[in-house]
Amino acid sequence: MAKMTAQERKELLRKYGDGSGGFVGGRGSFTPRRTGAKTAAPAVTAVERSTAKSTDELRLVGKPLPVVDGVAKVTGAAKYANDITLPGQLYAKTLRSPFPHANIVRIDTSKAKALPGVAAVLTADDMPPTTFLRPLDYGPVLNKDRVRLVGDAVAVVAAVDEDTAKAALQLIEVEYEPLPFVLDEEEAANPDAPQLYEEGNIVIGSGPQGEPARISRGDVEQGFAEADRVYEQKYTTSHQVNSSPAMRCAVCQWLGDELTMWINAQGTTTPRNEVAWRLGIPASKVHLISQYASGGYGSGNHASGTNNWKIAAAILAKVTGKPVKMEFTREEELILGMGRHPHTSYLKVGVKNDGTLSAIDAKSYVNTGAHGDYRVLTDTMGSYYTSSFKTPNARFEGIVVTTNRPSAREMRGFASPQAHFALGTMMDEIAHDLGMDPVDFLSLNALEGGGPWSTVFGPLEVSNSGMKECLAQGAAAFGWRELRQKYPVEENGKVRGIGVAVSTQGMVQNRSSAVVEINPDGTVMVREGAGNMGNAAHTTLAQVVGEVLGYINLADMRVVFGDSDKTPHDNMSYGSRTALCTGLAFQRAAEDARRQLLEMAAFRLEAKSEELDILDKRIFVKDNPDKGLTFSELLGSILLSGSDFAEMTVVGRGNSDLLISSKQSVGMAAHFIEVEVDKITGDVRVVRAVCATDTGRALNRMVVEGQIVGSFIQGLGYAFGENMTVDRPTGIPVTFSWLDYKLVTMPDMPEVTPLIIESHDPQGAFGVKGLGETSLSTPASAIGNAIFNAIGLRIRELPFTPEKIIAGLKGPG
Amino acid sequence: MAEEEKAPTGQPEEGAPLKISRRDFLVGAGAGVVVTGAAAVGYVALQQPKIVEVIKEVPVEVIKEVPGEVVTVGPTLPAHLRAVTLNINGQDYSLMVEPRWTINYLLREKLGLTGTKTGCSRQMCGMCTVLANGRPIYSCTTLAVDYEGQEILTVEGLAQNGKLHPVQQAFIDYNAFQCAWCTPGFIMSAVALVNKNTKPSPEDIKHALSGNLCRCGTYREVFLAVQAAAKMMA
Repeated sequence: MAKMTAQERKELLRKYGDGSGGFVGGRGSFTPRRTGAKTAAPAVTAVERSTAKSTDELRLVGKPLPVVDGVAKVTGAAKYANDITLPGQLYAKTLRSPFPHANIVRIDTSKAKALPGVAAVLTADDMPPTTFLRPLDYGPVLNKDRVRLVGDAVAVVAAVDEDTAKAALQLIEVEYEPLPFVLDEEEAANPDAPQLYEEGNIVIGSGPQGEPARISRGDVEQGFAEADRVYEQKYTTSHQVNSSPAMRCAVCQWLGDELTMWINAQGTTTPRNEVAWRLGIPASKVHLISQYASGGYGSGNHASGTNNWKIAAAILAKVTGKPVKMEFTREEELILGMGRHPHTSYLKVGVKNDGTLSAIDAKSYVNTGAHGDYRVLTDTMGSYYTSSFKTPNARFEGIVVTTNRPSAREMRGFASPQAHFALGTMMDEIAHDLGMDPVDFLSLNALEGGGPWSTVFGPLEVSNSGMKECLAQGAAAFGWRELRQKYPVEENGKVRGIGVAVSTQGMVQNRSSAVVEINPDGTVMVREGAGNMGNAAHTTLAQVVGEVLGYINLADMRVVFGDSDKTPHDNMSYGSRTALCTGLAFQRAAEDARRQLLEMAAFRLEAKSEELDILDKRIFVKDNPDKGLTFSELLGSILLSGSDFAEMTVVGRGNSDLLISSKQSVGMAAHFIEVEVDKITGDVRVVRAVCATDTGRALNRMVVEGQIVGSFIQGLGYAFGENMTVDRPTGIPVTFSWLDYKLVTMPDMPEVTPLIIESHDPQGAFGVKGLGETSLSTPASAIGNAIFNAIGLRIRELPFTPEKIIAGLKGPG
Repeated sequence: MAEEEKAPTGQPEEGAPLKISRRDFLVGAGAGVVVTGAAAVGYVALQQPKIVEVIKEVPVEVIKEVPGEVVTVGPTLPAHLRAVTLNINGQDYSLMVEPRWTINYLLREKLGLTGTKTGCSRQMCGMCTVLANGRPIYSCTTLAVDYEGQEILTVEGLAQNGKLHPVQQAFIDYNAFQCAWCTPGFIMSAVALVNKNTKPSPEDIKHALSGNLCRCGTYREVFLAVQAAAKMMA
């Protein structure tokens, strides 16, 4: 073993030492000076090293460890925003439009204000100007001149209790002038349709002159000319809504000019920044707490909903000088908690007789409702249509339209479920027409690593692909080949069929920061700003940190989360980005702390950093393991009095910025589904499903399986009972309770096998690429394909209903 | 008492008009329509309940004066409160409650026991599930005054001396929750099941949990956890 040279020791002393012989006695935290070459992205090496390791060689990563907040959750100790009650708290309620489209002529709040127990009644003029960014967004906090959907907010009340608040709403007089309204996306794109905004119904696109989102790769016309067969179909998807389990709720309290807000959010610092911006106050004056959040599935990203209601809660608290709690009813949560854009797509695909795709062309109309914008969704949709399969030629055009429907914005999957219903159904239609096994057809045209991921802003490269493995392993686990010989099978009026579909999910890639603090006793504070709405980021990130730092026990780590005052910046847990982006930041932060520890230990152990390793809070010489120091020994220092006093905390920091990466990490899935169709009732029962999902690396097998099955269940809901339905003559949403908006229940559950495929994506820590959304986009078309296999009926419009099955079985005429 | 129009049952097909002709109302409304909360027609979803004041004769206690006799006045209860005793998580609570308070409201808003959650206020989701004398009930639609003397068990009452109940431990071991808003409800339904049946069949488990919704989709893990908990307790 080589001893450290005098030069190297001097270098260390110069860098860290105080000359007093025990450099660890330095006061304050141990911050390395950046010296350029020394800090040149060591994480790249770490990623390459970690990507290659089989999970069996890892200590914490991959293990099915219980989540760190489990006890709080199963004992009822976990406090969500809905559980918070502050002394002197007022209760807020919102007066909402009964019309889908109307001018507001007059509002009179005088009687409401006079009701005893009412602390404030506010209208649009009382709201700060920065709350309404652009014509759409979440809609104005309160509408002044016009309402554009049933439920659009007109006034808010804060009162001593809920009954008084509701009574006050009754006393507000509003004069409306009802206007004609429009509900369909294609109808609304017509210039003759009722217009919601001065700018028209078509939302300004991402083209340079505001033209619709367009993506083009290769030459589709040439591709169609070369095709042996060309297929054209129209596909329509339904209106799934986020339907958070807990109703939207915020508790706002001002102390002087500083605001504290408890809310169900999918992040901390980003919603904090957004609140500050909209209120027109410094971000440093806002404290956002969301330690336990109910599932948002996208709607908790900015903790928003229609009208960005939380701003009204904050203003009520400011005006009244009291804490204000605003909680939605279940009806409000379903209609106004945002959702998934319904869409209509015209899809044209060219294929050669050997089964290879020669061109894909898609034109989409996306229905964003009265608010929500969301050209980002359409831009993203274009990537899915053009890049989910291997083809040299692809084109997309997408138009976002406003209608007087409940608003859509962000919901898990985000354009992928819509696109993959169309694509997954079309691919099955083609395979059937060619007489090919769909698994072979999908494998032949599978997206590959290095393939193009076309976006409206230019081409990216797919980081890697596990699609073929998903198909092969999924087919084997399902028994696909054998069943293909037998199915469909009919018995007693019920027919069983099988279907397969694949999907892709481009991970959102942007910035994350991470802080890891190693206390003198070896315990670790992991400070992470990701959301905690069931995604278990706190646990998987701790596993990454622990893996890098040689820990064997997750209990040594305490994860600090859910408080914007306590955590570094993260960009919210959305777009399946946390494991990828935040995981990478934490790998780097842990590597940073590791490097500091090894350098300190190297000095004390008279060895080089490269010769050392860490295990269970002890640093030792690899070739001579008996020679080592525990963290306590290393980080403690001896005061002049001679007593042991550990006062060193090592702080490791890391950032990741995959926004600037030229590679796109893409989650992939292949679902194999068996259905049973009742030809008399039209009922479709999903009997069995194998969900093969490429997650790059499973950071925690139990968490990953839960995410695969959970997203699959939401995909089931998308296929069947989840459809926000609006009464056509009146524009009134009629699915406003869980009686009519049907979630999947326990008795509906099929036998589901989550199959984890680990393709080791080179971008993420330990090869992870994230997976929160991936398996949501696959079930709908896989089920449709199974229905086709069972009864020969091709349904190109979601949701699948008994009425459609029976009408289809009867045939036209 | 609040009056609410009945929501249409089943999933109405788009295109089928509802019974009240709102279209006529809207079309004939002309240039302006004044809508107050009470008069807002027909949007069932967001309509605030009408407030109907019920004025009752308040019985007046007539105090007869008899010279030399001591007259007792009171005690009388406030007209809008009732006394009720509930045993909650092993502890007796004697309380003054409004007759309209649900057990859910009492637990969450008055007693600070927020482990029991709310989801829908209409027996649709089971997130409010607690046990009353061992039976699972929807606390959102049960009145506290109707449960005089009963033993109410909530999720906060399961762990004993710092040790988790086997169902709670199983939920952790099998990762049977994600956001966990529905979890207390599931745990209580599961406890009711395993307390009376330590060898539940898969159908028994599915049936016992059929009244609990999970939006995150943890049914598979919940099922496995309850199966394991039953084995632990057998």
